Amino acid sequence: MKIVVGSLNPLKLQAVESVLRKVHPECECGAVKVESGVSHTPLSNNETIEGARRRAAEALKISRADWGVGLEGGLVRIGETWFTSVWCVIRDNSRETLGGGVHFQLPESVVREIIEGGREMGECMDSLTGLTLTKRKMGAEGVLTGGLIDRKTTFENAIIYALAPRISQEYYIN
Amino acid sequence: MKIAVGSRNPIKIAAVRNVLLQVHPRARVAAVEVDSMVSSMPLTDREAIKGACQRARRARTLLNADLGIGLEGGSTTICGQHMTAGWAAVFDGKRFGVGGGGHLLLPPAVDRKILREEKELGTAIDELIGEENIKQKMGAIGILTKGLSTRQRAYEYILIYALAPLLSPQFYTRDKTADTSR
Repeated sequence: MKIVVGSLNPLKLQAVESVLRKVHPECECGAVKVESGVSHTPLSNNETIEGARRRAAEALKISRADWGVGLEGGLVRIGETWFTSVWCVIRDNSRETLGGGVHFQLPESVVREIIEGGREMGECMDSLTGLTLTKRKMGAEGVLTGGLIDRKTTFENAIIYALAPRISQEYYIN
Repeated sequence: MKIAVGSRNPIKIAAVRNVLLQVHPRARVAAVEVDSMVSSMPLTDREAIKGACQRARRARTLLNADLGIGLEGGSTTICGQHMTAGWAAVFDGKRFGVGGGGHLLLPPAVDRKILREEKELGTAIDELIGEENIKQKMGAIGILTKGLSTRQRAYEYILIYALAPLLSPQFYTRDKTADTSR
């Protein structure tokens, strides 16, 4: 079984490998560069999910793998509060499954820079914290929680939720 | 440091202990049943967040604690898909920290029971798998992910995300202390 993630971010591939190997120990995991087709920081859950969907579909198309995996992060406003959220879509030749929706609060100064300044989330976190490339290391969540959680774990959780309808098919029949 | 959990559900209390004792090793964790002021099965993320915030605020007041914590489960429909999600709120008397999600697609049979028969998720899952009180064991999450995650672990993760603004106040100094419970 071949599984390909639609991104060259090494954390996404590591997360896919660590989760998928528990389910399909023989699987072969790879990564391809694809376009998400949405803005660098989507501003709603619908747009973020669309990005994850396109990444999964493109990865499947380019690589001819069995499954394509798309992971996408963005911003979303619920009530008065802005969150950043991560979604996962897993695609095969017949269907896609969606899950994830891991949400946490970014500092409002970062949210404003993204929305008003058009800047990318990772870049804003780097300038706020004085660190470099946080998004490919512990991520914003790692910095903001003092290391209690990191970006890779966020991706892993999103993948686990998107996997449910595939690994528990007996419960998902109509 | 006294921490108040707005629920007597042992899974929620265990999740709070596991996370908060990493941050405040000498904290005392107490639990109290409170009214979430939202329906027993919130049908939007916004309503579930409101429920989590109410639980956090009330528990803190009732037990005269430093931190109040609320955990609330619900479901929501996004992109035409009905998913369950959990939300955590932490309140220190000044600001709320909120985190959560972990959206998981519900089986069609469970969907019908929640949306048409107005059943709670726990009851609907019990009926689907023929077990009892699954919500105080591994939860729907544990069943549907075949143990890759569990309800308690999911609560622990969302609680960690909710703690971010309180753990790193130096980065949130320009935030309005918006009251997310209204």
